[in-house]
Amino acid sequence: MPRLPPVLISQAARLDRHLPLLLRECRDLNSARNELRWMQEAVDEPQREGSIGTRSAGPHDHALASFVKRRARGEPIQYILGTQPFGELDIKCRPGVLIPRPETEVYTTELARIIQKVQVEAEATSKHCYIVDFCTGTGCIALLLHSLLKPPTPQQHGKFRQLRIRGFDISQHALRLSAENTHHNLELRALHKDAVQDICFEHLDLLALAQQPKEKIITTLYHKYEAQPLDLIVSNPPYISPQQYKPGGSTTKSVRKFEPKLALVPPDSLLFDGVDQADQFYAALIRIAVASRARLLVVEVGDTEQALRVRDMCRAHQEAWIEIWKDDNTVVSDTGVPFDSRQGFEDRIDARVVAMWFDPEWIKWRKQSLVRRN
Amino acid sequence: MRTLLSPLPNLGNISPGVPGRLRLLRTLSTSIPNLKKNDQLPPRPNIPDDSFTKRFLKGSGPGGQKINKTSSAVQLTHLQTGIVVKSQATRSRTQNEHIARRILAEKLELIEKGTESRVAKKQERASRKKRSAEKKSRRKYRKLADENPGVRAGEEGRQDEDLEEESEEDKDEEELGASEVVKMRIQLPLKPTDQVER
Repeated sequence: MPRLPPVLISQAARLDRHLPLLLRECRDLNSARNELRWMQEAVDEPQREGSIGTRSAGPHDHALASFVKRRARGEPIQYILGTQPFGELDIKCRPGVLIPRPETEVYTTELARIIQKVQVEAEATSKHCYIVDFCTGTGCIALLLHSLLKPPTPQQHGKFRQLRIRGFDISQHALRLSAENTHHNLELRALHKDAVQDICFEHLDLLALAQQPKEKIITTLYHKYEAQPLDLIVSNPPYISPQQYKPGGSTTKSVRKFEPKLALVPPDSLLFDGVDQADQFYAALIRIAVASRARLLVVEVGDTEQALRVRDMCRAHQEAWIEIWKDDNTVVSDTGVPFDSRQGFEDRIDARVVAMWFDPEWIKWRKQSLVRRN
Repeated sequence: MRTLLSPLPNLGNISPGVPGRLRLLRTLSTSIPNLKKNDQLPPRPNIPDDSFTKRFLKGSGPGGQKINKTSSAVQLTHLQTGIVVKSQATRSRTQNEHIARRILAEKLELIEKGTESRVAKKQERASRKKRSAEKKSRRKYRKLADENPGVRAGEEGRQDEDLEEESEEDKDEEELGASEVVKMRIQLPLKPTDQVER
């Protein structure tokens, strides 16, 4: 990491005594000031709810100073403040569970838009929607999809009488936190009250399930929902290779030091032969999606190379329409032809998502809507 | 100060012809349709989804799980005019997008309609209010100074400070509402006095 210029440090010190410390992690003045403001707000908040009295300087400044100190050591601000905004939701964060990333928020929002449209345009009668979120962590994807597909405000009532979302995770920490997040956001009225029945979080070892025979996969996923097709499987699984995770790799120190490795690096027990360790979960997800006849599988990936590997893996497995989405939501089609942008992969924005469409009706709809968008 | 903060006895003095200020106070706590016609602001401007491009800043380089970005900045670029608006006010991208979109819509409206736009009218309203508040405050302290020369200096300083703070408002509707209500509490009882003097 390049050294911070002394000019910058003294400039920061003149603005606020906490800023030089924050610069260690934030690296630029702008984000340091933003973070300081957010910490200040968090410290002031409980005071605001109480009576409006004179602001007692002592304990507040102490709390702020300790926040700043923790942040300077690289602790994520989300663990310090305890939350991360995600769409209209407020997601609680705790050590042991991966912090939701803004990229995830972007494509999840786009995904909700697609699901809503395909249900209306491709099959006008459908009132069901069944979604599975593997490696759900804080539950952020499952909860955001619910908040967008069945919004809490009555006037924009969703089209789905029956929305089913199941979130799976291997970590008990994650399962506890995702349940807490459901209730937390219900209290904030950021979720529709049906969320309690519509969403459930369950324990599952994804890699182990993918080793099971097809029948076992089907009974696990359709256990209460046999009548329904599985509309969407979405997942943000661990996808970092051991090389990328090593010090000096592309994974930042703060992530390595404070976030759970379980959620970042797939285990080295390579259950799928001929598949990179980083891609183990994708092999499992594709197998499960094919076995359960899911209509759409959407996975987050780390970079363009990984996206292309996932595409090839899926293509070898099944007839499908495969798309790669970038961070700005532009879509690159199966054939590598960019859809709604002038550039292909050569521009600097990395691939973030691979979307694999399996249902013929949905594929037909999707191709048409992409052409229309152009 | 005590007389200033007891508005009720004075209410009866307001002539039915000029109750604009009183009405304004009431509507702030209820809804816009109650506003008097000439005081009504044009509707909040909006822009279509496809008239701008959206960028989440710090978008390039590795992302996803490998790095925990705290930047939630959103930048909108209006396609037709090339106007760029950026917001990083909150930790929430969704909120920042709402904010940036509103600012962009306001800018476009200002270009299109000039003094007839919502922003211009709002600004005009605020400066009108500030002017009259200043006038009243000058008058009040002149009067106070006449009665009791000792109080003057300190009190006036404080009052000026208050006004400064209040006139900094705009952007946020709630903020605007709140600061106006605060201001009205001081102004309301003064109004009848003004008329008497006039």
